This record gives sequence, C-alpha cells and structure tokens, in this order.
Amino acid sequence: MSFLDAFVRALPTLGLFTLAAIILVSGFMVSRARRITHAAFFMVLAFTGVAGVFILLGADFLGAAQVLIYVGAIAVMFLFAIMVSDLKELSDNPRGTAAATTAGGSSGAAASAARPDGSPSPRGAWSVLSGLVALGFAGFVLAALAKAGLPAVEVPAASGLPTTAPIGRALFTTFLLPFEVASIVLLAALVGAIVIAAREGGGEAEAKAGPPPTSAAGGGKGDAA
Amino acid sequence: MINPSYAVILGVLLFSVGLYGALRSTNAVRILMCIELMLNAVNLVFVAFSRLRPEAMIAGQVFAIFIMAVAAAEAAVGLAIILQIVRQRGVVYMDKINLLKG
Repeated sequence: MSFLDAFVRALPTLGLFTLAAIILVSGFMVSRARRITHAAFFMVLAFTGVAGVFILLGADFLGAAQVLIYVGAIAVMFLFAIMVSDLKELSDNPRGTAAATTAGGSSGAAASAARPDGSPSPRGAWSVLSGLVALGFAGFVLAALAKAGLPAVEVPAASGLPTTAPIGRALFTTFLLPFEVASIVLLAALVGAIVIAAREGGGEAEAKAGPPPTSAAGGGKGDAA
Repeated sequence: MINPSYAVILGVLLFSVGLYGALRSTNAVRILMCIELMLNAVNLVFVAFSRLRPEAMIAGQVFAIFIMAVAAAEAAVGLAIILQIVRQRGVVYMDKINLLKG
C-alpha cells in the first residue's frame, strides 16, 4: 500500500511531465510542420496542454479560460484567417522557396539543408542561428534560475478550492483600473481589426465597401461585450 | 503533491521554443502563432510563481488574465494586418514584403 501511496502522490508530477512533453513537442511542431493548417492544430494541442498544467497547478478558472479563449477563440481566428486569405498552397517553404523549386524538390528538409550547388542555404543558416538564439536564451534563463535557486516546495495539486470567486473579487477591487483599461484595449483592438480587415485591399474581393464595415463592427462589439 | 518549479522550467522551455519558431519562420501567420506560444509560456510562469508564493496566489492569476486579453487583441489586429497584406500584395512571407527595401 505504501507503494500505491507513493504512486498516487507522484501522479500529478507524472501528469505534469507528460503534459510538458506534449506541449514542447507540439510547440516545436508549430514551427516545423510543413502545412500552416497543421501548425495551427499543433498550436491548439499546445494550448490544451497548457490548460492542463493550469488545472494541475490549481488555477481552475484560468484553465477553463485558456480552453475558451485560446482553443475556442484565438485558434479558430487563426484557422479563419488561413482559410479566408486562401493560404492553402502555402505549405511554408519560405526563404528557400526559389532554391527548392529550382532544385525540383519541395521537401522542407532538402530546402533547409543545402542549395543545389552544395553550399548551405541562407535559410538553413538562419534556422540554425535562430535555434542557437533560442537555446542560448533558455540556457541563460535556466542558469539564472538555478543560481537564484527555485524553491523545492510541494503544493497540493489541483486543490479543491475554486479560484473563480477570489479572482472576481480581485478584478473588481484591487485591479479595477487595469481591468477597465484591458476592456478598452480589447474593444479598441477589435474595432481596429475590423476596420483594417474590412477595408478594400485594391483587390476584386468585395466591391461593396460601405455597409459591411458598420455591420461587421456591430457584430464585433457584440462579441466583445 | 506537485512542485511548481517544474512548471517554471516548462514555461522557460516553451518560451524558447516559441522564440525559435518566431525567429525561424517567414510565414507571418506562423510567426503570430509562435508569439501566442510565447505569451502562453509567460502565463505559465505567472501561474507557477503565484503558486510558489501563496500570498500572491490571486495576483498572478489576474495578471495571466490580462495577458490573455492582450494576446487576443494582438492576434486580432495581427491577423487583420496579415489579411490586408495578403489582399494587397498576395504574399504572407515576411521576406517578400520588401516594398521599402532599397
């Protein structure tokens, strides 16, 4: 029974490690997936994993908000943008696109590995460089954390206390001004996004310029409220 | 029982994964996705630290909510701009948007 006890006590940590593996792999696949739609779905997977970590850390309201806002709203917005702007042929072979097509192969690995003449493509070099920057950043921050010493405290996972009421109380007392500012920022950003996206882009897409922006703005405000 | 320090480390790693993607990609939509990942990593660190310091429990989560609001605004405006660029110039690749390049 003591083994079972130990297992049950280690269960949240095991769950955290599993979620961490899922999050990091899918986060990596966001930048490596060939198709932008696949990248969007990997992003959804990473967001869902983060929601799980929130719940494991006892932030149940944030976990729910994460699912609703990121998985429900932001990811759908990305998918809509991908589909509306008709990017389906953009399997993201960028920067080395010309080299890849002249080489006749469109495989991302080949495009990032080398140019036809054998010299490393600038895209591959850039990819390596950004990897080095990211690794350097992670190393720097982790070294700083190790130097500062992260506390080895153990807190109960997903304590049954609901955090919704305290968060609401804090939002409307201590953080009232930031809350109102955030709501105005959100409203302004959504109206601005609608104005930008509804403007006719010199294309043939929509000939009607007048009425749609106002109706769309009304709908956006309804969404924001 | 769980140690929130692991979540801090996870947040750092997720941030650097997003940083890698944001630096590496040239597709503007993908760059925005990676920025969302980075914002999410910051949220993770906020929640983990709020769990490490019980007296700051609620403040950290409230800050995470503000970051979510800013992330939603950023995604909306960024995608609208990308949509407009695609309509006007027909590309989403950042290195093809070189109108001001000499």
